[in-house]
Amino acid sequence: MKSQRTPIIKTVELTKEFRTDDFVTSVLHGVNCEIMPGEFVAIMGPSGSGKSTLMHILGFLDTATSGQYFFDGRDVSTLSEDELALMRGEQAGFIFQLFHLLPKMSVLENVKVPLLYSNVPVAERDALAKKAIAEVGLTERIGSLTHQLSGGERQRVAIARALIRKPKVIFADEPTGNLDSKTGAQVMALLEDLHCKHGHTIVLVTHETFTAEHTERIIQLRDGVIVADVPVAHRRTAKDDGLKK
Amino acid sequence: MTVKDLVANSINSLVRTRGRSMLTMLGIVMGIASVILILSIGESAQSFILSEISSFGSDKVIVHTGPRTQMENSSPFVEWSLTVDDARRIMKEPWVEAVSGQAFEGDQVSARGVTRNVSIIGALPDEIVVNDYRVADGVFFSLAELDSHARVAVLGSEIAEDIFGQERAVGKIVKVGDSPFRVVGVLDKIGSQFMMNVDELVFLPATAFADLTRNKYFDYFMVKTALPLDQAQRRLEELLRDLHDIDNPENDPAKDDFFIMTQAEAVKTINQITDALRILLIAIAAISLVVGGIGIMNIMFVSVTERISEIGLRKAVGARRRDVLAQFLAEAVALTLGGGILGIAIGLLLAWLAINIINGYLPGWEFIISWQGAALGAAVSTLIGLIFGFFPARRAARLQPIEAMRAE
Repeated sequence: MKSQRTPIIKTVELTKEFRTDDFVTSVLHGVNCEIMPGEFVAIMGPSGSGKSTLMHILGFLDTATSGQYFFDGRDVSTLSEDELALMRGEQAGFIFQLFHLLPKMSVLENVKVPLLYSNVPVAERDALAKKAIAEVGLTERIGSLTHQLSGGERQRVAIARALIRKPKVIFADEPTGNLDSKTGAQVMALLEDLHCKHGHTIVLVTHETFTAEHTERIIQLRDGVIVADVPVAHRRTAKDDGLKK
Repeated sequence: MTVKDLVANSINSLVRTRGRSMLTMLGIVMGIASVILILSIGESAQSFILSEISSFGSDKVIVHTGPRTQMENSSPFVEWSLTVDDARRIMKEPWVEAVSGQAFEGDQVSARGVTRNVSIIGALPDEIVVNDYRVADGVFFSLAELDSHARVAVLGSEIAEDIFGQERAVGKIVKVGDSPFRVVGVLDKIGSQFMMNVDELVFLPATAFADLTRNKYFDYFMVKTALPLDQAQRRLEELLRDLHDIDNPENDPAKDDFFIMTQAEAVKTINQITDALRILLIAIAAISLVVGGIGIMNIMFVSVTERISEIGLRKAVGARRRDVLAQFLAEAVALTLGGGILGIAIGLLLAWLAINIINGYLPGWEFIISWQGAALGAAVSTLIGLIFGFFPARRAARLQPIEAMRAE
């Protein structure tokens, strides 16, 4: 049923080993998966299952030991470091558990950081950043320094930063892992909103079922292999989380 | 990253850590400041000395006591060889227009209850002809007074005013040491020449000076002539070898007990000496620059370690190795160039102060901004940033994004 369109993400027998001097730790053993444009997918699994490693490879932050990875039909498993950096900048947006905002910089400056490594003219950067900040509802905090923000606000800054270069895929690594459940639910509501409104492809890594239930499809990983890949029958919504909408 | 981004970014990050940045810069500031100080004072000294030398003109040669080797490898054992008789003999040469010469001794001069420690010069009658001095009052002593060991003195303008105030000095008696001398002349205001303030000197006939001090040797003669200087030099060498019984047809400078210098040669020698001194001092200053550079490297390594997670984030949003390398190099250069510019300013300020102080003792020094030095300082500090910032920056650039993200 998916064969008519090119998957945005397709992996073939992807493996990953970490080598130290003494021994080899095998983390992924032949992962095959396809994600179509516009999908909202959760990768789930207990810790040590390889879900973060898989997301890092999908997000060009790491490379596979063997196997192939096609992004939008292009084989990216053999790209050089600079080419990977270009992919990270242009094709992917990242949201991390620990936000990774730059300290002592304003919200606006943080959101603009990815543009430093783009061809976007300096004159247009502020407008783009302001638009992304408005998208996550932080316009009134645009000049605040990041340490003055709450956890939820910080994660929203990170989301704005992930959006600014209009990436094809947004990768979120435990985006609610460092937030209380209410704030976490708000962040999930924001992601869902972005997905519905703009049709962003979102790949989310989590170990929490209720977070994963916000997505459309759950890929279960255990010991480095996919053990289940199922659509979500009853998606959780903001209402279910007790947020007024 | 555009250059503008780089500059803004690095200045931003230095301002964020301003306390540490200032401390790190300090080594560079001091190194560059000392280089600038040395170069500025060096240039001022050189131009001062050269202007002093040029005042003796291109129609004179200097006959110096001792062999040339003594001047070149200076030793405390000066070979004294130039006498009043030599001077009298040189004066008789038809091609010689005038001869002056000086022997020095420090002594007390007193009159009217005023006592001053001054430099006493044993001189020849043509002192004012050779040096173009003018007598303000009275006359300079004559050849007859030289021959008769006359107890007469000519005063510099400052010392005359010091002792006699508004009164006329000519005709009065001054005591040099314990011996009375009659003042026959007072010089015009002349200022500094050959690093000495002529206005504070007291001139006596060299013969009377020898009677008084038991010092009958001249430090040098200055011979004024219309001949081309190389010819004059050759004739003087022959004459003095003859007078001193030196057999030296092969012109070996080690055999002579005197040597002859022209203005051009003196300028060359001075330049050699000041250049050598400058190189030595800059070498010392360079050590402090290297130490400062190592400080920069150290702090940049710390900075990279502290900011691993920032580096990871930047890489995650698209920074390439060279972007990270450029960022950290730019920060290092901002540190060193900032320090360099501060150092140049401080160095110039110190040089200006120093030259003003020197001027109080030895007038005629001029504060010269060494543009060459300022350009050198800016270039060197940039270079230090690039060299010592490179290894920390390379470490930052080589970090894998995922390793760096985990570091928090």
